[in-house]
Amino acid sequence: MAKAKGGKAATAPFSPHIHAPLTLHRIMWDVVIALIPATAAAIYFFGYNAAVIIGMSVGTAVITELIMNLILKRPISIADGSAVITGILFAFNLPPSSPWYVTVFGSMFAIAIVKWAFGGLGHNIMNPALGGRIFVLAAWSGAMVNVWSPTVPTMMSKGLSFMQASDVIIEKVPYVTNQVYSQISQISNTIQTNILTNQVKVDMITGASPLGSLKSMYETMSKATNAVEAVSHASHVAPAMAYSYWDLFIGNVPGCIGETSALAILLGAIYLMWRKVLIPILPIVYIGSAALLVWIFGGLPMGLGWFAGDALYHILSGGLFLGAFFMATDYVTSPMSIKGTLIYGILLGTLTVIIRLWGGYPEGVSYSIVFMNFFVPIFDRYLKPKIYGKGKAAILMKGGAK
Amino acid sequence: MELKYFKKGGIHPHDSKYTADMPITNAHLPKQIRIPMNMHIGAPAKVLVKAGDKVEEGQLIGEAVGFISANIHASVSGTVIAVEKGDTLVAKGVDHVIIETGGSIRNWYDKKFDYSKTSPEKLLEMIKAAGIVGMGGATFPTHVKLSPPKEKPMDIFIVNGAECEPYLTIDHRTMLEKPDAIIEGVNIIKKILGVKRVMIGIEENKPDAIEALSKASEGDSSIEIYALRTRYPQGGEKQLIQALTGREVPSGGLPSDVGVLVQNVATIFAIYEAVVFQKPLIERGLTYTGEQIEKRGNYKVRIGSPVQALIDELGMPAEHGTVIAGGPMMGLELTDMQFPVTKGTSGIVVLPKKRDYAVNDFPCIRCARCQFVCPIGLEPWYLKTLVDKSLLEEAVERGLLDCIECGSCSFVCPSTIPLVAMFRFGKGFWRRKQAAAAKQAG
Repeated sequence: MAKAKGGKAATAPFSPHIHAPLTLHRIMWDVVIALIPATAAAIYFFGYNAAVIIGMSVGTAVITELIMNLILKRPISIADGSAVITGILFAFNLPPSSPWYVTVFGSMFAIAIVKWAFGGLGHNIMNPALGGRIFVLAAWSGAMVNVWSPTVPTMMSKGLSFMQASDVIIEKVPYVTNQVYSQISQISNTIQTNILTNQVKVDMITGASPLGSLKSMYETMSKATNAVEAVSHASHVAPAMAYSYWDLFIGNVPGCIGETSALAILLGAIYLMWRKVLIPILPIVYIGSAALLVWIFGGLPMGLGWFAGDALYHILSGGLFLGAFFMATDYVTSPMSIKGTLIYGILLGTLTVIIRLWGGYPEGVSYSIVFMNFFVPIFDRYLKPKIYGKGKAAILMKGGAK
Repeated sequence: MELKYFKKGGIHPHDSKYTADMPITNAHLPKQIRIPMNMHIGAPAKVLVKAGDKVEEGQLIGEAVGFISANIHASVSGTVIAVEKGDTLVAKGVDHVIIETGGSIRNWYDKKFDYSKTSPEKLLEMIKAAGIVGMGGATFPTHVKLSPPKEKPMDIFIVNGAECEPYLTIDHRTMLEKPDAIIEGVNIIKKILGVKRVMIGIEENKPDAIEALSKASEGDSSIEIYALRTRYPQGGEKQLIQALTGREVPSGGLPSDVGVLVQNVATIFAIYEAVVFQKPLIERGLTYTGEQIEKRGNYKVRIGSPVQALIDELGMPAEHGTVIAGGPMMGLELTDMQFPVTKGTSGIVVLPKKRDYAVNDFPCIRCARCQFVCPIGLEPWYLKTLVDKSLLEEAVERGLLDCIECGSCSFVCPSTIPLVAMFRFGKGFWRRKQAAAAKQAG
């Protein structure tokens, strides 16, 4: 094959002479466009800090890409948009309170190590953005766990709905007695009064993400032998229950900056489907299997028994939508065959639910995806399409017509 | 009507069939024609004339050498001005007969031959004498295809009217304008093969052709007409067989292995003319088209007409892209406009711009589109790596030789990797290697 020099197109006199309109650049920039709603949601809910983190992450990713191009003497590939995508997705995986060094080093790691050390675009063995996230999660776990809640006004309303949360707990947890209920009410009333009377000046409120709260609740409930123990952790329980499905859907909850708004992510995904960049098989199978498993097993850690899990709460919270639509579907690190995609999706859903319900972390999406990324070559090796003329029909026919 | 379709893959390029409602007309007789002796698969024909000879339209000027070969006839009356070696699109140093046009134009259609009492052997002989080859583009000698080995009896004859290549409309027009001729051609083949069942497959985007042939074959219960889903490569031999019969040609085998024979509409029309009017294959219909071509249409062109003659007659803007002999998916780029129209040229397509391949600039991003569209079920992304690394044995194991070179994978590849070109190269390299090994062993 004749090699064309950096970016210059060489004409090839071989068929086919026409080409589908979809090109690498169009796909990549379409993904960037599809991430705009989630970016907007991030800035709306988490304030300008989110914008700073996204900008910093994208900038670092693009510069790192350029440096790697130069070091490795490859054609300059920043125009293909893949570094921009990695930058945005990595930022989406950071809490809004992340310090600058987490953003910069994580983004750098994602491009330089996860992507280019393996040969650049198309050769990385795991999703670069998630590789970066896991790197910073291990390196600066404190900064990563400290989750920042949405901006003050929305959180104020959360504080005020504390009362309703208490009601939810009474309903869902059988051994919360009237005495506990009144204690919770008391706490909530105090908070409300303090906020309303300006005795406590609220700048921002940090709180666990919905899944974090849920996790604490699982632990509390499974360990609690009596109502008194349970109530000592009531403060963990309440916020988790306070988020409505609507809040979770639009993203008005604490969490990493790009993952909270299922709505914004869906908008982007619909755009990608319309542009024929994304076939939604994997996201549907992933989210579907996770929902099914949560419904079956989700009630167990809370002592509610089988088939009692809150599937909707689980799929709308955490990084499941972001992971399923934008990370697991990464072309490079997902299986090639449809059959492989189905199995891959089911395994992703299973792993995510196992980690969420029984694992050490409240969230399992990023670990599940990266873990499954390593198995993609095996999927491709064993789930090959059937070759025409080598199938059963052909073998039966061999040696003459029937 | 129930739609038939092949099971796997395929693409749907913009069909660009601008000339679908333009009747077939005769192109001008060119001043000079160049007839290469390799217009078919197999041994090139042996030249029978020399410079200075006067030739008549339809006179044998090239004789088939061996079984897999085909006769070649003078497509115009005139004087042979040279017999010389020259290059064609597919080979170098091929004998060409160059004839200067002059003399009478023969009328082939004044009397009809009644073939009802002719034996199948005699009919086959007539087809062989007329030098007919597969006119869909493969150019395999038709008499060879029509003489299957005894141990492989045929039970279904398939007429390929799919015409799935974008831009081309000549088969469509032939079916529309000459439905009776095609049905008669089908009857001739039925007689030769002794098959009881004929299936005609036409893509659903040609409802008028389906109607015309249905009308022409009315009352004949052995001829079944099927609408095919419009999807490239529906007209690929293996895909058509799968769509219509559900049979699968075994890997490395031929349609005769599953008792099927496939012939293209243009070939059937040529067979009809060869038997009924004793007219050898000296002209063919083709589509001259392109977005910028004003006089685009379907034309009858003498075999051997230089493409330049067509350009002079029908026009071509100075600013144009690739000029293709055949369709844009599988056709070859015409690098020299003096190359002639051959028996396999189903169209001249002038694209508005050259396709840009940025070779090796963009890596495979494993988007799986190639695997998704491959009608054979190959993994082009993987085969490409194997060919690139010269791991041909593994590539063959994973189906390299099963590739039909339809171009679907290259068409969709967002990184514009020239996959088909690499597979063609890999296949050629593998065959040469096998031949060398066989030579050494024997």
